[in-house]
Amino acid sequence: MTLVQNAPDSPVRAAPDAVDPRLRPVPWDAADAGRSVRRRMSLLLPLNLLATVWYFGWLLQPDRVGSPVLYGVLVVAELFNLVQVLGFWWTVRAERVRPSPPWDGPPPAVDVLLPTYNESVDVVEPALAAATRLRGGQVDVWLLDDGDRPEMATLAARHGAGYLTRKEHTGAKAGNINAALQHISAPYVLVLDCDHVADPAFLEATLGHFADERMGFVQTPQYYANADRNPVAAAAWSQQALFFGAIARGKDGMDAMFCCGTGVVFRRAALDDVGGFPTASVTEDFQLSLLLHERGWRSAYVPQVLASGLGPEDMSSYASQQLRWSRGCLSAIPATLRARLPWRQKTQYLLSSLYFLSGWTVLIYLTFPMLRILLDLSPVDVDSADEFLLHFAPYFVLALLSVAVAGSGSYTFRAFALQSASCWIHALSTVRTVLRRPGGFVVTSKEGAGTWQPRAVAPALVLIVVLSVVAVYGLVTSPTPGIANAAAFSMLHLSVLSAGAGLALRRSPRLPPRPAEPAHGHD
Amino acid sequence: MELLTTGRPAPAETAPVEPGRPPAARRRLLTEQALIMGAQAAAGLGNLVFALVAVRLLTPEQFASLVAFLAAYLLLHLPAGSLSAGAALDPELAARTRRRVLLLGGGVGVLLALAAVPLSVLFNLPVMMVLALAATAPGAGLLALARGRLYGEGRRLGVATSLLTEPLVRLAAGLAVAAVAGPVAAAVVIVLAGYAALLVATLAADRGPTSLQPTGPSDASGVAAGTAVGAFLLLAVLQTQDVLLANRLLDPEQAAVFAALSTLGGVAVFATATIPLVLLPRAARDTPAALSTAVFTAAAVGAVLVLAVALLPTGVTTAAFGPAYGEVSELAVPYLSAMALLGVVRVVVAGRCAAGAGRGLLLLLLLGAVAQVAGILVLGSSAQAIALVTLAVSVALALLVGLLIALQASQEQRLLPTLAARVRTPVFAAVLGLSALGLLLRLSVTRSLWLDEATSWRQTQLAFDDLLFDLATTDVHPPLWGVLLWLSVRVLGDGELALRLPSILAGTALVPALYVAGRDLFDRRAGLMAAALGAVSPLAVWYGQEARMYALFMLLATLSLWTVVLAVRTGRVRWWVAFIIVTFALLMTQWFAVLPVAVELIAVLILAVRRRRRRAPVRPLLLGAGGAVAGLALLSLPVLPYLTDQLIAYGNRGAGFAAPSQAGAGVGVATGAPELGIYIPMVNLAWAVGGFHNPSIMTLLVSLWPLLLLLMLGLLGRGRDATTSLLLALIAVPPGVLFAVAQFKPDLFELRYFIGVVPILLLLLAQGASSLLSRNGTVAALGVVLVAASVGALYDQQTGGQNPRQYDFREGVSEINAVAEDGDLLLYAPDYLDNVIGYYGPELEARPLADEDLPPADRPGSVFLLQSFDDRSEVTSAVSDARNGLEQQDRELVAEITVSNVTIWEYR
Repeated sequence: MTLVQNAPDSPVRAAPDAVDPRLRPVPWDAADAGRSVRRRMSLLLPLNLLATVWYFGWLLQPDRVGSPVLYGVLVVAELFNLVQVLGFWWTVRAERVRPSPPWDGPPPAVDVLLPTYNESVDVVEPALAAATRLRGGQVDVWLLDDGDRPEMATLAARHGAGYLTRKEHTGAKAGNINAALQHISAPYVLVLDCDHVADPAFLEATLGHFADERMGFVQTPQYYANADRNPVAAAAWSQQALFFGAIARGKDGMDAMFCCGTGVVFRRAALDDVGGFPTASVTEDFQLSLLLHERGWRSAYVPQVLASGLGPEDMSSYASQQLRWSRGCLSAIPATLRARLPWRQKTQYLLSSLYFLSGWTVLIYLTFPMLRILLDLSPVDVDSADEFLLHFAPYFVLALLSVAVAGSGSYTFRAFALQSASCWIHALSTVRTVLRRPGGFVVTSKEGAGTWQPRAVAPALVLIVVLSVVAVYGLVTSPTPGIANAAAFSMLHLSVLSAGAGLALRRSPRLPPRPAEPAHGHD
Repeated sequence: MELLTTGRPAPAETAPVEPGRPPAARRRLLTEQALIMGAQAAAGLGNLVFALVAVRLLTPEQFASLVAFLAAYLLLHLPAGSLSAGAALDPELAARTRRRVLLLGGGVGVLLALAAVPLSVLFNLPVMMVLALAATAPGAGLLALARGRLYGEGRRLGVATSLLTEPLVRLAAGLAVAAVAGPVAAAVVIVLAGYAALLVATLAADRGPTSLQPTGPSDASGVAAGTAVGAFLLLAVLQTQDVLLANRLLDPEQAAVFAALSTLGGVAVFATATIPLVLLPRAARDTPAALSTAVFTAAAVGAVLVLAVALLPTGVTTAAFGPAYGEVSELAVPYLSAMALLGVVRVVVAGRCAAGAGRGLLLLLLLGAVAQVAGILVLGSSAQAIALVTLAVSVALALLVGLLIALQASQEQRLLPTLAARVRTPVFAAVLGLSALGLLLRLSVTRSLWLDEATSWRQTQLAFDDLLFDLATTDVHPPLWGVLLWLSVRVLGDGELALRLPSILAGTALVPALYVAGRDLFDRRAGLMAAALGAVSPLAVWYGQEARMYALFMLLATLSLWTVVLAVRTGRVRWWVAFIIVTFALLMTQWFAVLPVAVELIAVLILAVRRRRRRAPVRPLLLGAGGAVAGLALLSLPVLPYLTDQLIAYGNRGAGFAAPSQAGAGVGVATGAPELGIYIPMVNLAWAVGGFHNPSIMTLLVSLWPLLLLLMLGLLGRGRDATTSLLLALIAVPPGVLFAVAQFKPDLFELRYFIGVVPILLLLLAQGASSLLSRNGTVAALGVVLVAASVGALYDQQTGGQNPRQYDFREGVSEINAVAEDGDLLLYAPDYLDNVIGYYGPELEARPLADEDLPPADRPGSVFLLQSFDDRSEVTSAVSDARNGLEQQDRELVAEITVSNVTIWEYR
């Protein structure tokens, strides 16, 4: 309260940064100003294609078949990754950075919805206060409390916001919003997670896109303001940065940007057209986007950080978030396949959904060296020891380079390690999806537990132990170059898994804050 | 007109010319020096022609005595010439002391005349010559005073005329007399020529314009003049006493050689003799830039003379002095260098004397003269030994004089306390300690010379022009290393340690170079870590002990990177100049150094593009880089013919080498990999970091390549630091290009050809460890672990018998030397062992096994068979055939000796 009163125009600039990271300037530029990923990738793509042909041309020869079963599994895994890689290149090559046209006419009415369930007042209050200070529209702020908590009602009243609750708490976040839609009528609806502190210029930067009458929603980046304070949030943010940077700009270039649940402005008519948020999915935003695009509504992505939120601060939260996302996206595959969408949009949705199968490839890859050491089984048959290196290394290095270049260095090793250590989540989600086991909506915790959470990474820890034992066993019993090579692969995997899983084994997982850098998103 | 109408003054007409403005003053000083020096050069040339003709007219013994007379004549004139220095500082000195000098000269003449007989015995000269010398004495001092006065008053024409008079008379009358009446008569003419010059100088002193205003007599100028006289006297002794001692100590042939050498050295003495005299009056008047111009002139003249003589074909020297003086050409460069250095020292001494600060130098010069006498008496067994003693004394004096002046300057500018404080810092001590450790490790070399080292040794045994020809037609490297080693062998000899000393020094210098590079590229901690790794790096130590160019390559590659980064960061011209010098030296050390240099220049270009994109100023950067490229191109132009010769010779040889390739020998084979497969760069990387070890260990290490993928993953999100990117490019591009080229020319992929990546790898390793260190104190152990791992690898490389590159030719040949007798024969395979056999067994009768058939069965004595490189089937089959043949000759195998990679059989 004090903060807001002291900073009538810009809570971001006025707040002392030691208090709440969401009130500090944003050091990340979602538009990657001054650099063109399209141009840089144009230089890299021919090399990438050559390396890909070089590797797969070698791998897919009949002479390469070692153990037939393992070879088949390897080829499937490699082809899956190839699809993902090709999709990545295709997406980032299509990048579009939209200008922000001003709203033409008197400021329109906008309902700002902040759904909440169990978050604390400390988390919600800065977001609510910032929402009431939005410019560029006749704003009505609504706090949608699914927890029925009196302190939230008090909070809403204190900030002049509306307070809505409901009798039946069904449909999770989607149900909460749908219930609110019954009580509001503004032509535009801004949905913000209750931890997202909006920039006062949010609406000024987004509403102009609705000049297009078929514009259904305008998405903005999610930004984890606690990324410099917590290693889990930092790694999670690094993954997000790649998506909300090059990938989201590319999806927008193909009119295929989907709604990400927060920091998004909807045209009320579009929401009404599809009957509000779908409540049958745990990724209601993804499903909603699919429906809107299928109904002919368009989407836009504004690569400008207009709201600062909080990422998961512990492994338990991260795991539950990933489980929900993977479960929701994988279950959306049939709907996507059925959807009557242009092929580009459909392929983009499929690529996003299929991404959550990539955990399987990690599990496959780390199995191979163990089988080599224990059973002397190898998926590929090579004439000499350096053949695999010769063909695989260029493909691998250039793929890494592409990610590094496309993400402008935002994608870190820790992000990769966290993703790899979450491979079991993807596998579990796949099983649940196939078995049609229902998935529950679990709100991602905004506040870290600050304790050891070995159970959150237990499968990864088991893998680490097995890999270590097998590698040591191989080196001790048969220190030949072939076994040493397999052991080195094992060490590679266990190092990556350890770096990811290690985040769960830190008792005090807070990093010192970085010195503030000039803001981009809020300026 | 435009200037006038805009109201700006016309500087040339309205502004007075400042007498001390450096460019104008420097030009004027250079012109003045050039005029006098031109006359002196002409005089020197005249004297040289006189000597060259005399050497033809007289017998060697007569010529030696004439030259000894000339040296004694010079000895009289040069000390007397020191009076010139005094008079140049204080022209009134000539008038004040003329009578005393005449009396003193007369006294010396009388004494010489009285001691003519013993002196003639002592210096092996005819008595008449000593008497002629005595007649010289009264005039020598007067001539010096007269010329000194001319210098002091700025009468350039008078000085020039006087200088030219002496050789003209010698040439006109001396040669004819020598031909008719022998060396004694020629000596008399030489004395008369001196008096003619005195007459000219005396007449000129009262005529013509003066260019300097008199300063007026003072006590200070009197003291300075006295100091100058003393200092010049000592320098004259230093320049002439060796030839007198040589004439006394050596046999007539060697004495004659040294006499000819001294004549050649006299060119440098004469060429630079006038420079300090022109300087003295200027310096006494504090003329700006006078001293620096004089030092520059003396150094440039000396360097040009040394270079000219170095490039002179042997035949020219022999043709000039005659066939009996062939050794002169080998000694000309070091001896001329000594004289040129003394010429520079004389200028510096003159400058200090004029500034009234020359007294400290007197003791130094005296010690130098004593050391020279002592050195010659102890070591002077040949013309070469005496020449090297003079060179050593000259180098030491130049260094000590430079140091003394630097210390005086630092005291005057209060620099000393700052310097002392810097030296006392822990970092300085650490770098010094690491350098000492690096030196010790490199000095502890025990292995035998390798084939290439023996090739380098063979090249050092050639005359200079033959060396250049050999390099251009049989070698594949630029000339710098060959020339450096050639020079060092002339100073240090050709023992194993002496041959390797330049590499040892370059390898040691790499340690502080890594420190400064690491400090300036990253931070002090990275610098220290890099220095520590460099001190113990197995590969840096290995090549720091090899008498080849690779230690210098690593050093210069580090310095090139360092200077270009500083040039870009600071934009200062001096760093660009340093970059040009270092990089040119690098290019002249190894042709493939063009790859890292290209990477550096492309990096600068990319930086310029980025700056332009950011709208930051790029002009200074582009000017600097453009200037560097132009400078390098200009400097490299004269080397193009040499490179062309090498390429033609390379093509004629079939574009390959006789010596074995070491690209990855043994490692690829063990894994079934092709000879130049992808494992080979991995092997080279392992060598670069960990040194040379058993192939099975290397194979195991290389099979751990998946860990490199981890390293690459670890680089994700590490930011885009330009310096790190440059280092990565320097590591990746040169080996990458050579590996690609090697697919067509397999002999081009050798770690040695891109060994510049080793210090860059060490810098990156140090930076990686150092940056981790800043985040987590526990990673401090990483540095210790890295250094400990290097030490372990170094130990295995240096001492373990597992290193496949340990070829003990020394031990093998010494086993033969121990038992071989006259008539014994050594047959060796492969044939490219010729140089190494020539080095270790110069007395042995040896030939390659492939040359001819086996010796006849009735040849008496032992036949030794020496085999190396037994991994080559053509070698083992040839040796096997030879052994069978010898056994069929009923020769008995009496011994079989095996040392590292060398096997010897003795048949009798």
